[in-house]
Amino acid sequence: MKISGKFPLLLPLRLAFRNMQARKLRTLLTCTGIVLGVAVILAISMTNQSTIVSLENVFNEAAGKSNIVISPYDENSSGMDGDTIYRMDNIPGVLYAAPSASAASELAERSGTGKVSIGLGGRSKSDALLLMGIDPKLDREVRSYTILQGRWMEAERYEVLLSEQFMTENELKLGNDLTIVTPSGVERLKITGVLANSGAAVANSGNVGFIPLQTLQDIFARGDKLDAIDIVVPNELVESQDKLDMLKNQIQNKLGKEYLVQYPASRSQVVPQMLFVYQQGLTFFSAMAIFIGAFLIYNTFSTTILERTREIGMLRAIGMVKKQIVNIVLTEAITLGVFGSLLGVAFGILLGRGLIPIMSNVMAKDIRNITIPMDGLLLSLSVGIIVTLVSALIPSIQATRISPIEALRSVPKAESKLWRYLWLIGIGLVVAAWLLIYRIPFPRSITFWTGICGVLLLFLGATLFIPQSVGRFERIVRPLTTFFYRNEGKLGSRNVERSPIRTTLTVACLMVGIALIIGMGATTNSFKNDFDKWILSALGGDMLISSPIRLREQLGYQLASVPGVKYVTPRLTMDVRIAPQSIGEAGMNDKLQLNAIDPATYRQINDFQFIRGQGTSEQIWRDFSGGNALFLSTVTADRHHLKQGDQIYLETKLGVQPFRVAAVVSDFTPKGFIVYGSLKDAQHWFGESGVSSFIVAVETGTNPAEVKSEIERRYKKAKNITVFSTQELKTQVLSLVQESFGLMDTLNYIGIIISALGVINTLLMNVLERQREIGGLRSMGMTKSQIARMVISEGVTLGLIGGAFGIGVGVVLARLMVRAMNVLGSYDLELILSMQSFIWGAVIAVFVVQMAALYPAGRAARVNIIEAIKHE
Amino acid sequence: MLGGLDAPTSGEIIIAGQSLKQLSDDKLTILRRRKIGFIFQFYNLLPTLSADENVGLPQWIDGKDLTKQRNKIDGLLEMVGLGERRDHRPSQLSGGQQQRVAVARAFANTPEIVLADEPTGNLDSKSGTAILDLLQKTCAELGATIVMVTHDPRAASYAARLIFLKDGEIVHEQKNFGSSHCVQSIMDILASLEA
Repeated sequence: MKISGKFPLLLPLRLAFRNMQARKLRTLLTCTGIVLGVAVILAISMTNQSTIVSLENVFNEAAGKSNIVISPYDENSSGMDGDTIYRMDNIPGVLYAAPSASAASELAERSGTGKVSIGLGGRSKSDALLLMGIDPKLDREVRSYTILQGRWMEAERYEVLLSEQFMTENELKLGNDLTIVTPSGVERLKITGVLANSGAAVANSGNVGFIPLQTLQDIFARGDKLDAIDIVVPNELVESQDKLDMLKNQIQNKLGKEYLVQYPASRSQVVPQMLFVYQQGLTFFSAMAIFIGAFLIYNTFSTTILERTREIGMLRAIGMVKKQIVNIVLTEAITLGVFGSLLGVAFGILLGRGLIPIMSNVMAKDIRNITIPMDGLLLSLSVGIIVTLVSALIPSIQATRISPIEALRSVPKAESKLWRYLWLIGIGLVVAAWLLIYRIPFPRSITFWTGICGVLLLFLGATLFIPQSVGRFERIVRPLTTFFYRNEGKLGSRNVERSPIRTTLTVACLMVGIALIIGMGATTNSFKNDFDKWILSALGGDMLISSPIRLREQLGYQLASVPGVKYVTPRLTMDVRIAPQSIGEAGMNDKLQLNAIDPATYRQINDFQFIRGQGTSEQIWRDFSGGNALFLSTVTADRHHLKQGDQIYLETKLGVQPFRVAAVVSDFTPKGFIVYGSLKDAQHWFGESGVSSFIVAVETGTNPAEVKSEIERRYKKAKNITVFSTQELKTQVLSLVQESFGLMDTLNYIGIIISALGVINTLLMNVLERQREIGGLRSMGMTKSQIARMVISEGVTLGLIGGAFGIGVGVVLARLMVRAMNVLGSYDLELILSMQSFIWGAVIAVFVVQMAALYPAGRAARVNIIEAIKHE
Repeated sequence: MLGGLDAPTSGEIIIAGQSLKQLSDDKLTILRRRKIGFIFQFYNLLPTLSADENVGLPQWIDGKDLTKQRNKIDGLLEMVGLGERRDHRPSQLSGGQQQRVAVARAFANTPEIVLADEPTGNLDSKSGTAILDLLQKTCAELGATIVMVTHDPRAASYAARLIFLKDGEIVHEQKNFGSSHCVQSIMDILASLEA
């Protein structure tokens, strides 16, 4: 007779539902594991995607319908001639050509009290107002404006439309005058309209105003100069990339080399380096969450199956074939996997919504576009379902291998010989991880992923060491549990040896959780240490004096004469273009921010943090002061594969000029692609006069606030300057760094919750499995509190073993994470372990685990003795 | 109920002059620990403990230092014939040997009453007889009362007093004559109850 493995279709489903109903608590625990695992993956993906989409949207919305943008090739020039717009007239395919000019300004009444807030997003949010001069008749064909109140501007009038956000933040009202600072003094513009915070009004984080082009040119003395021309083309051209390319080339050829003709997309900022590293950190955490979540799910499911060995034996005895048993278990797994994953998606969306505001604060940018990425959704769903299935499949196949008689007798299975030699495989995996991370050279684009694989192999390898070490660790821990929990502690501690698989998986969950905390703590600490050093050297002095317009260098001498001022050093910030000779894979139109300084006075106040192994500070400064030399930020050096002594070619007013790389410096300026040169070189090669800011240091014993007041009294109105306290800036920057790691802390807490859940799960399983034994102990005279102490001490032993493994693996992970920051983020961080994270690890190992053990302990104490001993 | 594990809906249980009704859960537990010993059908030994540790478990639970109880534990193990196997874990012992450990454990705190629930139910007849002989001998040596629940007439024949229950009610009671005829007599009574 042929035995059919087929079932009536609904039978497995019915049995699965009955099983889940009968074991409600276990079903809930398994489901929680799946929900948390799926939720973390989705929430992180959602946070990352929303950040990127929001960044892109700011540029896309601001660019509007524009298909091609023309700008002057030299960004530091005074702009394009006004008649450039007429040269577009006879070009077929150009539907609209909208001219614009822009200028940075500041509210006159706020001038001097400005506050800068810096974000990882690459650009600071500031009170600085970007004024866009546009053609009132044409611009609405190019950019999108939604007028909430008032009306559109009229040409040549002194009128302005502001974003609703700017109006609210600055307590402005429709019909008021907007008083702004311009190079020729204070000007007034009538507020005629309020714009919705969308479309063109999202530019410059919403701190933007739109005025007629001619008005802007008048008040900022720009003559007829333009900064950009946005071209809109007919739909048929938009649909054909070839035709659009042809038109773009045609315009470029017609205008010549003095102009830059680009697609708006190419103006999009590259994702800033700090944000990039940050997002990779989140992705790394997401991978770890999958790992812990998978362990948790496997642990629960395998125990469920083990517990049902007798039931499986009975089913086998009455004629159920192996395939049918596997079918039932898999049906249960699929049902739970799908249900848990769907709930996980819902929870993940909520969690993501909670994480996004934190990310928004970290970046100092509004994240308006909360998107649920399809790939993240599918990944989280499939991880939830597949891991549940695999977790169920392995133990169910194992269960069917037991003969029905063995299963019915519930004979404890002899320990497999393989179990004793797992540590050998563990060594193999750790070696594989080492090779993957340190020895095998992978292309840079996949280094991050090979790194993640390496870390996962390391975790797996360490996990395989656990079974053989539990006994030894338990004997070390036992005196401690006996000391705190008396004889019950001794009993509880010994219990961890009873379910090797369950103990291994729980210890592994704790190990990963604690290792992540230690790894993350060390990374944060190393970063902060480097950052603090940088901030001390880069933000030296007591005051930063700046203005939206260029300042004259002579102001430096005037500032030096203010009583109490000890040193003054000027700084000029400008964009420079890298020449084709130095362009590698970085691509065309790569711009750098050149910060020009005066080496002699700069060193009196500030210094640089040179990366290690470049010679002494004196040698480096001597080389730099010799001229035609630059300091490159680590990010710039990495992007263009440059090191100390190499040449970098920049496009200057006098043609392409090579500059020597005097040193590579650590630099955490959000914009990333920074170089430092001498003010003399900037004046010589780039024809710059003026400076952007001054840094002032006061005499020892002098109150900086008094000096600040005096400087403001003398020069605030006359020179339109804003005086920032560097101390305030430092505090803000440090709090940003603190906040940015706050998100990681949030994720760490989720990791702790998952690990604690693992402990609750395991102890609860143990309690459920040992009902009869607990009943026996109670009948022999063990009080409820003794039973509870026994279960808690079992948890503590698990926690301490997990803690020991976690700390060991955590130290290795910390090294790997700091290395990853250096390789992927182009930093030069030195590993500094965080004592705080070790304390946290210990707290989790001892206290969180005890808290987690409370519920199972309570349940064990409440075991009904009669029911329990009836279990026979 | 006799073991203080369950409370009667009516009536009163008095053990060693103490009414169980008036005792809190903790006090009841301590009474159980010190005055009552338990023997289960499935032995209920802790798999992580060795034979001597299992025997010493009630004293351990009572907070006593096992090193100071060494003589007593060894004596109990010798008495049940497992002096040589004191370091073995339950998984290294046969069913009969495990039940012997359980018997030794039941007497660890020198209880006044030992409650045995089908102590031979899971054993072959040879091991069963050995356990019953052991219980009788221990009871005589240590002076405890053994209350045993069983379906086995042969096991029942070891008792001095027999109480027959049917559907939760006492239906018959008799003193034992202490002879082998007793098994037949018990079987006859059981048959008459079935009829």
